[in-house]
Parts: sequence; structure tokens; C-alpha cells
Amino acid sequence: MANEYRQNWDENGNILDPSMWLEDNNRLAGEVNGGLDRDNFPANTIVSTEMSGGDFVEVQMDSTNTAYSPDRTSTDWQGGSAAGATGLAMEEWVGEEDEHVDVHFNATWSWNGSTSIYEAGSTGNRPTQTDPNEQYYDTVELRLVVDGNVVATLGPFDDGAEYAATYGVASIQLPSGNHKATAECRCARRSIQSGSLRGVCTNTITFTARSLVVLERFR
Amino acid sequence: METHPLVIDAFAGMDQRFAAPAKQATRARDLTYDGRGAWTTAGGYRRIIAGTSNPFAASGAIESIHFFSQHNGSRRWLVYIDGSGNLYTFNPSTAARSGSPGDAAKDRTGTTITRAVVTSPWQRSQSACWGDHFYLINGINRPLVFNGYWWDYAGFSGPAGSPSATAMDYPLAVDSGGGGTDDVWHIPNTGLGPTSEDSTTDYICAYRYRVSFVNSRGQESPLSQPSDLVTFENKGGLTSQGQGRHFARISLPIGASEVVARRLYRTQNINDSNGDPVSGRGEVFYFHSEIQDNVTSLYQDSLPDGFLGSKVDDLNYGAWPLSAKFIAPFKGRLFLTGAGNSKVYFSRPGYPEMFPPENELDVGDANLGPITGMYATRNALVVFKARAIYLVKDAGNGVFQAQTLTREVGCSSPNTIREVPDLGLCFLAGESIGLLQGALEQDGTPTKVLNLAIPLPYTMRRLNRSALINACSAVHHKDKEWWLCVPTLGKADNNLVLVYHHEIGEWTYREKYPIASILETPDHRGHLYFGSYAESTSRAPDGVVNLGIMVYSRGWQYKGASTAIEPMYQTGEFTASPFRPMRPKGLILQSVLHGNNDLTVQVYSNRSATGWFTAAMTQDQQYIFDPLPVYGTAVFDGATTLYWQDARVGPQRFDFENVDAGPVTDCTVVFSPASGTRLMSLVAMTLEIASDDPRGKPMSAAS
Repeated sequence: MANEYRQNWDENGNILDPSMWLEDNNRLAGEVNGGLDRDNFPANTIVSTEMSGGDFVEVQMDSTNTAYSPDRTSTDWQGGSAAGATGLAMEEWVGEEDEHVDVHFNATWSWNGSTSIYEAGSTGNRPTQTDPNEQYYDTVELRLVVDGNVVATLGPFDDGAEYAATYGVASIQLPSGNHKATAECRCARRSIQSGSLRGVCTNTITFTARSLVVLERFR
Repeated sequence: METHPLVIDAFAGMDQRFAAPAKQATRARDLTYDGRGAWTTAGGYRRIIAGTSNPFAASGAIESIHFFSQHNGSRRWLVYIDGSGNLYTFNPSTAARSGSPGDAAKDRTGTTITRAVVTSPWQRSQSACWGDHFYLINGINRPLVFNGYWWDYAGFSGPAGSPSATAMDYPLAVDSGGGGTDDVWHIPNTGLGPTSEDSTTDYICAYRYRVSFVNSRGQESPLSQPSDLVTFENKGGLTSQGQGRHFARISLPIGASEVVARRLYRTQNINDSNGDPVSGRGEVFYFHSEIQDNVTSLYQDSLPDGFLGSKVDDLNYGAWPLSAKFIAPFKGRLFLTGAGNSKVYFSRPGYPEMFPPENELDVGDANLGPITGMYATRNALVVFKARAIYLVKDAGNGVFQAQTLTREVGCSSPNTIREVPDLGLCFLAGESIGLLQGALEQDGTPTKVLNLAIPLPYTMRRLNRSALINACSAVHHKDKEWWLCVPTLGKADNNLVLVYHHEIGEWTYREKYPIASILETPDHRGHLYFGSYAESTSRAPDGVVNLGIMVYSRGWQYKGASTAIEPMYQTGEFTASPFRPMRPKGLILQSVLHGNNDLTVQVYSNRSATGWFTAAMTQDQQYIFDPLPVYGTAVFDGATTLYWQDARVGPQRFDFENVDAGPVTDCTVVFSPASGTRLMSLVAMTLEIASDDPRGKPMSAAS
């Protein structure tokens, strides 16, 4: 029964009593301000052409096919300082009000070079080892960072397959204001047994298609 | 000439007694109490679907309307039945917009459901909400239940048909070698009755079955009569075909369309090891299994006794009393009554469609007339007879008892029973209007029945007693009114609305409302809806055909399309002694000054039907020294001194004289807006009188 009916009748010749008008407005305000429900919006009441963009959700996206190769000689997180054209992925936006944000990221990459499993103590590709029984391989990790907070980590993924891909998603509540979401990666040689860092990679990695999607949901 | 004031410091509602105080109205029509002390113009009504095309036009008089909501009120419907018995669910938010009379009721297969409609006065269809389901009964057709999507028959009218069962030959005993192993002939945990590995030990077994139907709400029918006895002999031994336990095949009854599953119950082996029946064992049934369809006709039973479920008590099951006319949820049960006897039936707790045979109360005193209504409130279920009221109370442990409250007052009109805020339970009681007050508990608060109709003796005599069962009522919380819609002599339809302004305990009345059934939506909006019976000019109270569901509001200009709202207030009698009659000289009315539309005044003396003035006196409703701008004329363009102001109370003076009137001992004044206008708000008045006796001053009149 979302219908509301006029509460007073304004008759020619009667004084203009604002309290009567306010009573009508009050009924409507009571209906709209927090009282809306599915009776107000039955199926097909509002079609997409009746809503302007960003009424309820906004989507930000950094999507690219431009190749990006991180520095294999560094074990630092990298790639998040620029958008996909020159970095791995980055998206900046201004939240007009507090919001709930879903951050989605997918990436595809390829390793350059053959699979790199090394035994400790063997020649070549041999960092300083502490355990002669360890084996190492080249890996890449990825993570999603929103406003400096790590919200998701992916991997590490080894170079056992020449081509590989991953997908990650995170959900976070944000206040209004400026925000930045980045995707970052880190290349490193790691112990198969313990996962511990064991130096830098031998093989280089190239990220190809990737997308960073930010879905803003407003209250 | 010296005059003296007779003061009414606050107008009150109607009191039809001869010697009522002058502040009480003789008549008060189309008025509502505004909470600040003014009697102001009441509203009108309009069809819920505006426009010249009436989608209800073919429906005939509305039989009854009901309200149903689901999901804490986020889905809502008006449920109504039209004069042809068509049952509709009407969502004003969608149906009104599309100009539709609503969705015709259909069962899950899409078949349209209709209801019986009685044209003579009757209690009409009654409804109750239970959880997210809406129950509808009329005492004639099978009860219905609506789940928000389709309608279904509620409960069961009787037990399921009895199953038949036969013993099968032997359990899966197919071995071409003519012999077998334990695994073949004695399948573990499979088959009926005991068996022995000793070929000289045989067991003669016997079983019986019962079946029940289950509907989509998990409500179960009464259990069928037991099947015939199934007997067989489990031969002992391990080596030959034909040894081992038997299976049984049960032929299951198929239910009606509302049945979605059937439940099978079975005895344990009735016989002892000698093959003799054990006394009583054939009457004890245990849950066997649920067949979750209404299609399977044959069922193969191989369940050993030890795997049966719990024992079933068929006293927990019962049919819906089909002829019950009244329904109310109370204490986790559904109560039914009005089945042509003095019994009140109540369901199993939590199972609103199952009425065990022992769940009934007899409220006795058949000579006090039929049961005429039922209402749950204040920890009691109030059951009305034509001349008695009973309180059904929970005595604990599922035991209910009926207490006789009174054998003096009853209810004549089931659809008038409403709880009025701050008062109690109000209802039409034939020659009186009952008010049941008190906590209905033995907590020191007196529980008593009062008569609200004491100020209305004339109106109560006008009621058409043979049609009082058609009366209906609703509480309109927004205006703090209880609407009691009643038929008067010569009419079977409700052509008079008595309005009880419960905030101040006063009565007014309204006419030309074709109310067949009325309700206030119990959501936060509180709309007052009613179904119209105005299907013909002769039947319509204003002679205007207007069918459908109507909504009342003070925002409407008319009653229906063009019938005027006619506010009128006639004061009580100012009375003087015949030894010192009075001569009214004028009056000062305190009223809300509504603008340039005139207020009219007519004076009647000595209870004459003829007023003093051929044309009533008229006057603007303005303060003469400070008139306010009015709607339709004033332009608020910033270049003038026009302004908004709340309506204010001010004096209006009317001077009059009638030299033709004889000595005046009684005087009454009638106020109404000028023809064509509708707004007035009366607060108080002073009648100025001079003495008609040259010897002295008049006596004071009652005021």
C-alpha cells in the first residue's frame, strides 16, 4: 500500500493554512524518507534509462594488454606505482561518500626461460644455501593494496608453467575521500621446501593482459 | 435591551436525550474532532483507482475486504471478494496504477478459485493471518490459504483414504541353483517379521497400515482407517527359495490437488512367535516413511520393525471444521468457531490446519443464541454469542477453558468487534454498543461491559435489527475515530456511519457512505479502505452507482464522484422556564476562521422543525479587522504584503430577532458551511438572550 492520498482539500476562498499543506508534505516525506519498500518499487517500476550513472554503484577499471616486466633482480614489491600502461595496475578515485569497495584483479603472465629448479650445492644458479638438501625455483607473488593496506595476496607462483594466470578479489569498507588501489608483484627465488627467500630470479617474467576493477557500492 | 450570555465553552458530540446539556449536539454530521477543541469538516472518499473507467464496474457489490502482508509488511495486499464471488488480491501500488481490479485468485495450477456469496445479511468471509500465510473462510466453501503467490485449500476435510496391502512372495529370492546363502535369503535389515535359520521354525506375521496426506505447508490430514490385515509366513532355513522374510506391497491413496506428500504408518508384527495376535498391537501404529509426491500408487515395504519411527497418536490429527465461520489466531494456535453449534475448535500448537478431535470447547448456554464473533486480545480469546460473552483462557499445558463473562450482553455483528485505543473492545450489541473494559484477568482490574450508546437512544431505535450482522467497523487511528457502519430501518446495507471520537468519548455521524466492509491498513500508513455496495441507484445511499474499493481521506472534496460533504452541527437545547421564557438576540461563535466562504446559521425554537429564517444567515469566516488572503485569489509574488498564517480561532457575530416566535423555552442553533463550500471548524459559542418576561431577568439555561 505504498499509495499515499491527499490529506487536505484546498478550497477556493479558504485561507492558506500552511499546516494543511505541511500535513500533505509530511505524509510524502514519511513515505520517502526511510519508508520506501518493494511496494514503492514493484517490478519494472524503474528501468535503467530512468537512473543516471553512478546512482548506486560506480566501477573504476585499469585494464591493459601492454606488457610489463618487473625487475627480476629485485625482491621488492613493484609495479604498483603506475597504471597498467607502464606499471602492473593502479587505479585512483575519489569516493564522494563512505562506501563498500570490491577490488578485483586478474593477470596473465609468461616466464622467459626454462623451468628453474636448482639443487643446493649444484653449479650455477646457486645462491648461498644453508641446507644442502634444498631445492629452489623462481617465483612471483602478487598482492592487492588499497590505501596502503594489503587486502589480498596471491601466490607465490613458480615458473613450472610457461604461461599462467591468477585472479584475486578483496572487499573493504572505505571512508569518503581519495583512494588508490594497486596491484603489485614480487619476483624471488624461493626454497621449495620452506618457501623462504633464497635470492633473485634467473628467469624474467612478463605480465600481459591484466585488469584491476574497483566496484564502489554506496549506501 | 439588556442581554445575558448563555455560554457553551466547548462543543461536544451528540447526545439525543431530551434534557441533554446544550453543549451536546442534537445532531453532528460529517465532522471530526481535530484534537485542539474544534469540530471540523470530515473527509470524503474516492475510488482507490482514479479515472473515469472503473475496473470494478463489473464486480457487483464488494462482499468483504481483508488485509494481508508478508515479510514484516514489505509485501501487502488487499484481498477482496466481489458480488459474484470472485476472489482478488489487490496491490494498490501496482494494480491501482495499471487500472486493474487485482489478480484473480488461482491455485498453483492456475485454476481460478471463486467463493460463495450470500445476498441476504450474513457474517461474510472472515480472515486471519498466520505467519506468512493468509487464511480465508466463509463457512460454506472449503477454507483457503494464500502464500503470496497462489491459493491453496487449507487443512483437510477428512482422513485420507485407507490403503490396501498384500504380502509379496519372497524377498528377491532368485537363485537358479535352487539354493543360496545367508546373504540371499536373509538379507540383513530387510523384510518384515522375524525369521529363523532353522528350517523347522516358521513365523506367521501380520501387519496393518495407515496413511495420511500432507500439504505444502506441512500440515497433515487425519490418519486413514487401517488397511486390511496383511498376513504371511516367514519360513525358516537358509537353503531354499521361499525361506526368509516377506515384503509387502501397499496400494496408496492419491490425494487432492493440495496434497504434496503422504505419510505411511505401520504396526509392528501383530503376532507373537506362535502366530497368535497380541492384544492391542494391531492398534498401535508407528511412522514408517514419507512418500514425497502425490503420484506414487504402489509402495514396496521391506522395513523391519526395529526401523520404524515413533508411535503415532491419531488424537494429534484432525480435520478442519468446514462450517466454521469465525477464525482467530491465539496462543500459537488457530481458533475456529461458529460452526452451527456452541463449540470453539483450536488447532495443534504450531499447526494451524490440524484440529485434533479433543481440541474443542463448548461454551454452553445454547439458549443464548449462536456464536456471533471471536476476537483475541489481552491474553484472552473473547467469544461472543448473541446474548453472552465468554473468555477463553489458557489454563496451561495446552488446556483451554471458557469463562462466562456475562449472559446479559452479546454481539450482534461480528465485523464490528474492534479494539479501540484507550477504551477496550468495542462491538455492536443489538440495542446497545458494547465496550468490554478491563484486563480480562483476575488482577484486580474490573472487567466489565459498558454501553457506549447511551447518548444515542434515537439512532439505536432506527437500526435495522434483522440486518445488523451486516454491520462493520474500523478504527481510524489518524483521526482517532471508531467508525461503526450500520443499516437503518428499510435498509439491509450499512447506510449510516456512527463515529465515536474515542479521544474525547463523543459521537457524530456520517451518511452516504456505501460501506459493505471496512478496514484500516495495519501498516504505518493507516489507510482507511472500504468496499462499496453501491451497485445500483436504488441501493446506493446517495443514489449514485459507485463500485469498488474506496479510500477515505480529508483530502477528498466529495463522497465518491460528486456527492457533497455536508458538515452540520446542531447545538443542544438552550432551555428556559416557561414562566420566564427567553428571547435569543444573537450569538458569538468561536470558530476557526477559514476564509471567505460563508458559514450559515439557522435558529430553531421550542423544538420546531421550522427555522426562524427563510434563508439561513451567512457570514464570512474572517476576522473582520484583519482578513487573511485566501486560496484561489491571493498571489504570493513578493510584491505584496500577503503572507501565510495558521488558521486561527476568532469570533463571528450573528444578530437576529424573530418577533413572530412565541415565548421561547427551547432554542437550538444549526451551523453549516454555505452551499457549495465545505469547511467549518466550531469551538465554542455564546448565545445572547433577553428576557421575554417584563418582570425580570430570565433564568439561566442549562449549558
